[in-house]
Amino acid sequence: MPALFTAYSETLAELRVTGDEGSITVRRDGDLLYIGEPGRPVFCLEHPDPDDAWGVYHEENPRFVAGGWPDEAGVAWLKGSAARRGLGLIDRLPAGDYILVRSDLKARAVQHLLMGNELVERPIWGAQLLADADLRVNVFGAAADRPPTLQQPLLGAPILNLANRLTGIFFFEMAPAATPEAEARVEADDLVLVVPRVGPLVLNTMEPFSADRHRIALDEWARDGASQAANRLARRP
Amino acid sequence: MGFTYEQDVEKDAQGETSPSTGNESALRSRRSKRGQARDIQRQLQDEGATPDLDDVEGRVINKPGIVAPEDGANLRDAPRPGDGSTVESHMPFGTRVFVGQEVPGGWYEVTHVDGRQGYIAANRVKTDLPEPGARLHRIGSGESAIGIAEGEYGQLVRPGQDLRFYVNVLEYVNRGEGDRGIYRAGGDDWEDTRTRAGYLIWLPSPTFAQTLEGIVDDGSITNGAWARAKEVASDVAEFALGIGGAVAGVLHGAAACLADILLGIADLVALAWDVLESIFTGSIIADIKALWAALSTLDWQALVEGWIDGFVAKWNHEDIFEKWHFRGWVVGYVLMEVALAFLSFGAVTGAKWVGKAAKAAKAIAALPRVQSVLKPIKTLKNVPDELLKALKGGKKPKTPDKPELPRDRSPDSERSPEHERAPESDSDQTHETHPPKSPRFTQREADDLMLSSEGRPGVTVKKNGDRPVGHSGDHVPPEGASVDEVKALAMSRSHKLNTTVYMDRAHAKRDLSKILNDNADALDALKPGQKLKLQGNSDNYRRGYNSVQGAEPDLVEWRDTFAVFERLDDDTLHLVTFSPIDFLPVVKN
Repeated sequence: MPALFTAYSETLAELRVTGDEGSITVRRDGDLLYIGEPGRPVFCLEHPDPDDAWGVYHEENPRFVAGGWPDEAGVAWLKGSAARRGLGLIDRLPAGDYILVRSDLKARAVQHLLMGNELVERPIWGAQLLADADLRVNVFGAAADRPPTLQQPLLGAPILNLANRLTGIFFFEMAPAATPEAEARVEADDLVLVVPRVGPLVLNTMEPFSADRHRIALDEWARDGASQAANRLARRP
Repeated sequence: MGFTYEQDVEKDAQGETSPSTGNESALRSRRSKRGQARDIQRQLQDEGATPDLDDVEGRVINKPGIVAPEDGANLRDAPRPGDGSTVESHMPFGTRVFVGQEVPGGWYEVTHVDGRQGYIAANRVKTDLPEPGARLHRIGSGESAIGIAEGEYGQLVRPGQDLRFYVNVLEYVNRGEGDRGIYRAGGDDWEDTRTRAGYLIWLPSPTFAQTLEGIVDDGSITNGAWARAKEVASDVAEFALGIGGAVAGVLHGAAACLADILLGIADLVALAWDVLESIFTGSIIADIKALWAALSTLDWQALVEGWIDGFVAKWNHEDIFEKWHFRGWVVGYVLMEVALAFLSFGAVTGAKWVGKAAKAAKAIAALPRVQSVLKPIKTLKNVPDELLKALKGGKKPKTPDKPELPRDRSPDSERSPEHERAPESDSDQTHETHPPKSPRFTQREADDLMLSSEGRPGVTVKKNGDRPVGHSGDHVPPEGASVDEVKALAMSRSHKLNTTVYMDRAHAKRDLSKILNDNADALDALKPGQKLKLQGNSDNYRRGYNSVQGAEPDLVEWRDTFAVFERLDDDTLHLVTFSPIDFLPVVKN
């Protein structure tokens, strides 16, 4: 997969992916979006009306990402982070522009997650990373019976207009969950977040309502929104 | 023969055992057996003016309880075992109920949060919860303390509150006399904690367990610290904890109202409850959270003035369950008055507001949420004539065909915030700058679509199995709604981040009809089962109120709206939802 990795700082890097052969895809079927390998996605997102909550579901018989990332500079940039496995995700991203973020945010087991214009009971496999006034970030684990372990690059799906003018990003584990023994080590390590700037993973609650508005929202995200969000995710105290 | 909550409390305080009058108790105990209830009521009447229902009088408890035996417990329609009563349903181990009172013979009168009421043998229900959100757990063979802690609180683990902390929490809340399911063997360290298979233990709610940091770590727990922690936990999710009491209170209050309004005529009381029971145990209980969100904005103290003594103390009772039972009782009583008005006249306009809760009933009758939960009354069939006659007092409604909401119609209350805005001027529809030349959809049709949208199921099955229903009424107020009603509607959905409500239904009609006409061809082409999502753009800025999670709303304005249409199987067009979008707060100079 042709890809150009550029590290800008210890916490921010860019990845430009061209071509889409064998990549992770986003397949649409009406209100449903399937994320993962073609035919065997890992997650299904239900695209709601703007007043309601996005649904996130595990798919049966998923094909998790495997293998590594052949980019030596990239692997070196990840060293010391929580992403000890599942690096094959970065090698399988669909064509687009991405910002890679090393983040010291911690997953929080809050009671409710904002999943659109609705607060829903947090599933055990979900957690909140950030709850700012204009940016909400949730993360979802690959295993349905336990919290996300986060020891892998997390695939982001920005959701523009998640709730009125508020933007959301949902991150997903695309590799099998880590063992309980490994969980204890993750706390102090940086998370590795893959934030799409351009590409099929950039979603918009208002997309089905107005094609023109959708294009404008995508342009604004590519120009400013993605980097602002990435800086927010990468911030240090 | 009247009944008030005040009397109920006083009697209990004086050691008398009757929590209510005979009629209310009879309804509470025998509500699901129409024939049986009528027979009993008739029998009571024959025996004397004041029913003496020894079998259902008891000691007020008003606490949560949990079904403890592994094989669960039967919910019966009367406090009698075997053939002496009917088993209405089975409640499995761990079912949470609200225990209203203990009645002679070893029975608890209970209410489930879904509205089921009845009696359970008292020895099958545990009421000594260590904290309101706790649940029971039976220790399995080989199940360790840390294993239980991991399963129950594993997702909460963080520095300072690891599994050792939660083992200490479990050991502490289960301390007591005799052999315990979880205990210290010898030492006082978490590693000394042991379990006994087959024993029941309390699992405190995660919210409560977290509040014990600094209390259980060193084992130096004091009663004072424990009490403080309990207060913290109770404040966190108060309504969630108190909802069982609120549900019971609504049903108890409704029954009390019936007894009052129908002057204690037992036959009529039983008849009315049979007619309205499904509304109260159905739509009202199902919608209790949202209903409370809408009602909580009212000034209840002013509304019940002169009706209930010591109202403030009861409304804010320090015991969470007493408090919510009382609040539910008041709401149930008032709702029943409104329901009787609907039942009598098909609307509230013609109602003779004569009950003791008349002031409150008039106020809440105008709320969209109240109208929504009481809407099924309009479809009730075979309402006995004798009941209607009794309710109407032999008089006919004034304007049954053209219902109007009781509201403040003064121009100020209706339009003042709207008049603050500059860009819009549309008091007459001829001012619309882009009216379709030959509109295929009139504003009347748009209005009809919004009205029919409410609660009507769609045809598209969603991934989670739900069917979308219409809810444009969450964003569009009734015709002529006052500012307070608009605000109350905006605050009625605490589970939503934003709820934006039009100030004026006329604007909503105009905006929706524009969307309809701008997309008439696409809507015509819609096939059964298909949905169409459309964005609208008004020529003028609209104003309304936006509430964030049910908080006090802000004045906002917008031009964009969205609408979702669906063609139903019968080829009719269904409005799934219609709402403002992309709104901004109105900044006042």
